[in-house]
Amino acid sequence: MIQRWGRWAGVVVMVSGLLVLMVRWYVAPEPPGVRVTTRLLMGTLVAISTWGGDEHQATRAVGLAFEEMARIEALMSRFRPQSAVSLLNGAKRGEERPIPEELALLLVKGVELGRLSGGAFDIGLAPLSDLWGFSREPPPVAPPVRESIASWLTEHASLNGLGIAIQSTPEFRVKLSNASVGLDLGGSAKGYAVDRAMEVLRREGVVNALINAGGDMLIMGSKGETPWHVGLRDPRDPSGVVAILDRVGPLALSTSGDYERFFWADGVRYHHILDPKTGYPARSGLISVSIQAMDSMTADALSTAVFVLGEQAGLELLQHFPGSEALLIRENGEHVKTPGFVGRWSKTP
Amino acid sequence: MKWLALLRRGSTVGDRWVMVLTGLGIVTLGMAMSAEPGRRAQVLRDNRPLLMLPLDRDVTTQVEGRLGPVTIQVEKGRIRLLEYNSPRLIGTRTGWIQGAGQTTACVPCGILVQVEGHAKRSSTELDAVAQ
Repeated sequence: MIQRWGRWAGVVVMVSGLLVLMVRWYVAPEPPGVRVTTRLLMGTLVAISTWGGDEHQATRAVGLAFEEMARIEALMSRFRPQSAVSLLNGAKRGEERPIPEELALLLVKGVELGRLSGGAFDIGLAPLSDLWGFSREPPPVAPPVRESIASWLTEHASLNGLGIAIQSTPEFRVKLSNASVGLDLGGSAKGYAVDRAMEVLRREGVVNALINAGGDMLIMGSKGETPWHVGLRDPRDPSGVVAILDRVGPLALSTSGDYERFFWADGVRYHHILDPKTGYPARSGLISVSIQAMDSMTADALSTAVFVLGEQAGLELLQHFPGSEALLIRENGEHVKTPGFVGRWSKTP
Repeated sequence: MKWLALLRRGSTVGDRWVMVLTGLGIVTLGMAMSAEPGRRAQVLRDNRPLLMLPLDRDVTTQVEGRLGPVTIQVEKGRIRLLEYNSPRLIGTRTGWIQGAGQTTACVPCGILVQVEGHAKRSSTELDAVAQ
C-alpha cells in the first residue's frame, strides 16, 4: 500500500512540475514587438510604429498624433473647402486676408525656399496643378492643352517673385498677386504634419517611434537593441528597394520621384512634380530624390526642390541647409549620394 | 522494449491508466496554450471604425466606400479587399494580408483594413519603405 502511494506521489509530482513549467512558459512576457497603426490622412496612408513602453500610453499617444495630423490637414489642405488655404485661394486676388500664425510660418519658410531655389520650389502652383489634375479621381490620362499651360506661364512670369506677399504685423496677412497663384502646400505640409505628430508622441512619453507618410518619414529612438530598418523604394520596381538605412533617430527622410503619380501619353511619362519655369513635369535628369534632414518639413520641401533643380543646382541648394544630405537617382539608374547620407545602396542587379 | 517490461512489472493497471490520462491531458493543454489567440482585423472608413472581423471565420461582406461598394473577404485566416470602382485598384492588387499590423487600403474609397496586433519582425525585415 505504502509502495503504491509512493508511486502515485511520484506521478503527481512529475505532472505538477510539467504543468508549472508550461504555465510559466505561457505567461512569460514576450519581447515587445513593433506596434503599427495606420490611417488615411493627407491623401495617403500614414503609418505610425512604436516600440516598447507602456502599451496603453503608446496607443493613446498615437491616437493624439493622428488627430494632430488631421487638424493640420483641415487647416492646410486645398481640397477642404473650409480650410484656411482654400479660403485664401478663393479670395479676390490682390486682396490681403488674415491667416492663422501656424500657416503663416509655413508660408514664410516656403517663400524663403522659393527664393533660395530660384523659384524651383513654389508654394503657389495650385492653378497649374489643377490644370494637370494629378490629384483628381480618376487620374488624368493626357496632358492639358498647350495653350492653357502657355497662358498660365505668361501670367505667372509677370509676377515679381512667387506672387505671395506676407505681412506679419499687427497680424499675419497674405496677398496673392494674380490668378496664376494659388496655395498648394503639397511640397511641405505633409512633412510639417509629420513633425507635429512626432512632437505629440514625444510629449505623451513615447521615446521610440517611426512615422511613415508616403514619401515622408521621421524616426525617433530605436527598437531597443536594434535601429529602425528602413528601405528606399526602387523608382522602377514598386516592390523593390534600392537602399537600406539602419538608423537610431532622430532622422527625417523624404523621397520625391517621378513614379508616385504619373501617366504615359505618346511614349512620354508625365509625373506630378511640376517645374514652375516650364509649367510641365520637371525634366532634370533625376527620377528619384531622397533627402535626409533633422526635420521632416525641411526634408519634404528640399526633396521637391532638388528634384526640379536637378543634380548640380540641387546639391548646391543643400549647402544652405546644414545637416541635409541627399541620395539622387539619375534617369539611367546611376545614383549619387552626399558623403553624410545614412544608408547603403543595396539594389540587386 | 526492456523499459516497457520494467514498467509493466513495476506498475499496476491503475498506475498505467493514470499515466496515459495524464499524458493526454498535458498534450491537450499544450495545444490549447500554443494556439494563436483569435486574430481580428479592423475595417475603417474615413478613419472611423466600421467593422471588426475575426480572421478564423470565413466571411465575405460589403462596405460602402466613397466611390462605391468595397468587398471585404476573409478566408483561411487572411483578409483582402476588392474595390468595385477605383481608378488604380491598389487595394485589390495588394491581395491577401494576414500578419499583425499589415494593412490593405483603397485611398480614394476611404477604406482601410488593418490586422490587429504587434508585428514581430525579423532583423532583416523592413520597418518601413520610403516611397
